[in-house]
Amino acid sequence: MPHALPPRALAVPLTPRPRLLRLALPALAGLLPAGLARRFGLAMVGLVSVLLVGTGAVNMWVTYAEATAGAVQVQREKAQAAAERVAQFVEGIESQVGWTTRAEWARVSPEQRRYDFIRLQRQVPAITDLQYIDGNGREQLRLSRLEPDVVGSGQDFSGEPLFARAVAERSWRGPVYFRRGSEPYMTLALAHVGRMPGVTAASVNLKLIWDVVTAIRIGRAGYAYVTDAAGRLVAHPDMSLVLRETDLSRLPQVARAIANGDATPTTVQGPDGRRVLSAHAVIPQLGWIVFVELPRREVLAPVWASLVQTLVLLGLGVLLALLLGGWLARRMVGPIRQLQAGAQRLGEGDLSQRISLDSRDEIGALARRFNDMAGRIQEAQETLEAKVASRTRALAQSLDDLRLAQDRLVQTEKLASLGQLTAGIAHEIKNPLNFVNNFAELSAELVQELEEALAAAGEAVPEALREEVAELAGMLRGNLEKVVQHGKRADSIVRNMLAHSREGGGERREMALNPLVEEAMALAWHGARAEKPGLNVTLEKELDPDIGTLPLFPQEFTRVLLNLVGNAIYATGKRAQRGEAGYAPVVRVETRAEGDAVAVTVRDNGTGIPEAMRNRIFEPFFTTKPAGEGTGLGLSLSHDIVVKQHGGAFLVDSQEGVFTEFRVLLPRVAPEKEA
Amino acid sequence: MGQRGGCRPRVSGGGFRVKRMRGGWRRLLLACGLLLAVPLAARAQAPEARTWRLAVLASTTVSLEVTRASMLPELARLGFVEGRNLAVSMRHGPVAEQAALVREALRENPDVIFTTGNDITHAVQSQTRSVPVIFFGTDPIGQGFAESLARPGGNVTGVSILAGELDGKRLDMLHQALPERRRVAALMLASAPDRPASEREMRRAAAGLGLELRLFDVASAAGFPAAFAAMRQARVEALLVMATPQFFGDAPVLARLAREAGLPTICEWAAMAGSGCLLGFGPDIADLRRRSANLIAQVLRGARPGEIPIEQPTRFSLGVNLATAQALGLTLPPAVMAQADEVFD
Repeated sequence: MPHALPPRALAVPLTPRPRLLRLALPALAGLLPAGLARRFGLAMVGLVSVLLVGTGAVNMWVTYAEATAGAVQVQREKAQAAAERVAQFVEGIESQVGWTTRAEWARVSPEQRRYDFIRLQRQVPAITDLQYIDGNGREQLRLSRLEPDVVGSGQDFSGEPLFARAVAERSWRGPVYFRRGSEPYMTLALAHVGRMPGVTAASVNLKLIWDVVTAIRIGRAGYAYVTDAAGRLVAHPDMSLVLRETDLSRLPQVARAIANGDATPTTVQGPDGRRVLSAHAVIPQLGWIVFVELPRREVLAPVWASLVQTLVLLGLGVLLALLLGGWLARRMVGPIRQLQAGAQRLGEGDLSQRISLDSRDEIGALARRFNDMAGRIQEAQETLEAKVASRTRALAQSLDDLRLAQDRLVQTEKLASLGQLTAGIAHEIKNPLNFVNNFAELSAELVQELEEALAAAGEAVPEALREEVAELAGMLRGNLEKVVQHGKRADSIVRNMLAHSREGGGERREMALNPLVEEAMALAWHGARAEKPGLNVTLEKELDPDIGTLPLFPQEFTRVLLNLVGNAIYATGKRAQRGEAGYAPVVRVETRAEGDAVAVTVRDNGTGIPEAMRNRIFEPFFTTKPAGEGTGLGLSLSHDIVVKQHGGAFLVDSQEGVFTEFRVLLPRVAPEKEA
Repeated sequence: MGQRGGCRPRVSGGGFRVKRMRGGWRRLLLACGLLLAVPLAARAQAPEARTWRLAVLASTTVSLEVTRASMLPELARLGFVEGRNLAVSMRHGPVAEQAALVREALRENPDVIFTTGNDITHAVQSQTRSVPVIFFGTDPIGQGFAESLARPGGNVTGVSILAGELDGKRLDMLHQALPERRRVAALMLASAPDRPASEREMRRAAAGLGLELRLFDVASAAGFPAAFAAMRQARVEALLVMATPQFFGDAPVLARLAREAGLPTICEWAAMAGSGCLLGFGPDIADLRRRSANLIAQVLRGARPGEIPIEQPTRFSLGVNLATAQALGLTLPPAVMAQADEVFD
């Protein structure tokens, strides 16, 4: 799936926003998988987003309204409470000072007064100076933490507001002033009880309100501060602001509070410049204003929390939707792709292709149809192939048969022409040979007669002559015998050659093999005995009685057997001539049914055939026998008879000096060609 | 997930694999994970990177000890912990060595200098007008450290402990305790920059109270024996010890000498009564030290010293040493005892 980030997106600097967005969107889309999954994912995301954004917006609006309304209410109450605490602070001092305003205090001794003032100072740390002014407005006693005490200075305070106003109004709270331009102070003056009342005046260090103001807890980061009626800061958690004699009357909330006392909390800038929700309450006794301010951030904290919650939910929802969409799409796309891939494989020729989908839906049905189709195609294909194979086999068979037939035909032609040639030659030679043979025999008889005549002549012929003639006649007869012998051999060669020419001339017919074998063995043995009277060889035979008949050219096959057995006897004879001790010449003939064929084995323990000659033994006119003993035609002829005439096989196995085994395999059924 | 785990419909037989959108999903999940991880990683980074340097200068080791004991814990409470993000170097020495001390301290390039005593504050001011200085001294306007208490304007702000300003009140206290004794000695530190202001206050009070005031100046603790001998010779009946850090450091010696001389003594701080002075009257030192620490913290946080108002004491305390009173054969009047915040037996 090609949804990798476009490489360009990484190289481009990320500063210009629209460009960034333009690049980011495809990149983001690229993150999503392609195809159906993306469509499903986007659909899900859209749905979920709309739902969540909708509820989130409503939720946020409600939270915002509640948070603001609640905070406004709370702030107003806090402002009231703070105002009360500041008022309590001042009232507490007043009530302590009031302890010196008893009627009898005017009559107590100066020492007692001073003692009382000392105790009052100890009680109220905020009081820096204490003054007692008698009923005439004269200062009688002044205690200070900073200055030496003054007793009976008699200074006239009757015109001062701290005396005049206090006497007139029972008590007087002076304006806030700053000692040495830094420390906020206020004078409290209380008139004594009784006629011609004196006044106790206390200078109160308002820095001590700091304890009160910092003790007021407004939320987490909220704070309270106090200004006097003119907006000058009296108390603030940041002492420095107070000591600097800060004028806050220009702050909108302070200005508003001074102007009309509207106590509805509003969002404004606090003294430190942050956006705050500000509420205030006036302390009526003092004319001071207590402000309670809470950073807007804190007011909106629940709204932000709600926003974060909504966004997290949105994010989770989108993620979930993406996953769900993707999952659904995969459930759908997976099988479709399987189908697609299956079809492609089938198209590429893999007919065994099946799709394993066990779903029960339409895609499952499609897959089953696909599998059915593939099955049918495969079936048809297989049938076709089987037919082609069988035809090919038949054709090959026909070709083989044809070749065989052709070979036979060629061989037959060859043999025929050879036969004609040899027959011609034989025929031409046979007649003169007959003359030679006949006249040789006749001459032998004549020599016989000559010897008889010589014997009859008796004493008529001198002894010496007679012996000489007899000796000549004997030599003559010996020569004639040799002529006869070799003449017969030549006759045999000629007969063989004539047999070549007669080949195929015989008729093939069903014959029992075993009698044929027995007859040939007997013939061969007698033949051999005839040639070599002292022949010593054991003939063994093991004939399978189950062979029955098979199609044979009896005359030709007998020649084969005669040839093989004759060769075997010859080989044993050759070995016997070497005079090995304990050598027992054995020729063994076996017949055995082997399925569709019959095997005839002729084995001897004679001289064996050297490895080098084994390939040439079937060549015509090849012989190992000494000149005059073999024509070199026997095995060649036998091979032709077995292989070409009978369609059999001729196998040879031998070990030089140990054994030779010829094995002839004959088919039970004659080749069609021959039929 | 494994290589193919979770995708249930598998292909059998053919053995080929169907290409899936797997890569895309994995990348998407990875992106989400990264989005979550970024703020967490950002939050994990600690912001405390720099170490602030505070140089503390005083004339006596006692002042340094008090600073260490009372202010460093308060600074730690305010977020400046020695050894973690605050390096504190402390030096002390007599007036003669102070210029060298200041040079040494300035070489460390401190973020703020805390001085106890006007002498050392002067020494600092003579060498730098830029490095923020929090002083723990007296009469900043008279001494020329600041333009006004509310707006010091320069590089110096701090706590005015009303040392000399209260010397008149101390004389008054001494008089209240011993109304019969009219010839009073005042032990003065000749080199103290605020000596003239102290003397002025003392003389004014003495005049108001009708007391005979005799001043005895010393240059250092070495001059004490001679000064006390002179006092004996002058037949003074009581002793007012001028408010100065030097004498705060020498409190035990002073108290011993005073007792030997049979002189009831009033000293600068309530705590000095604990060291053997008969009386000690002054601002609440612990409160002022806390305020000083607060001012140091404000400066370290970036406030300009010229805009931080100089703070003044609001609470005062009187210390009384009854053992000393007994040793001197004195009984203190109830009015004095009533004012006592700390009583040492």
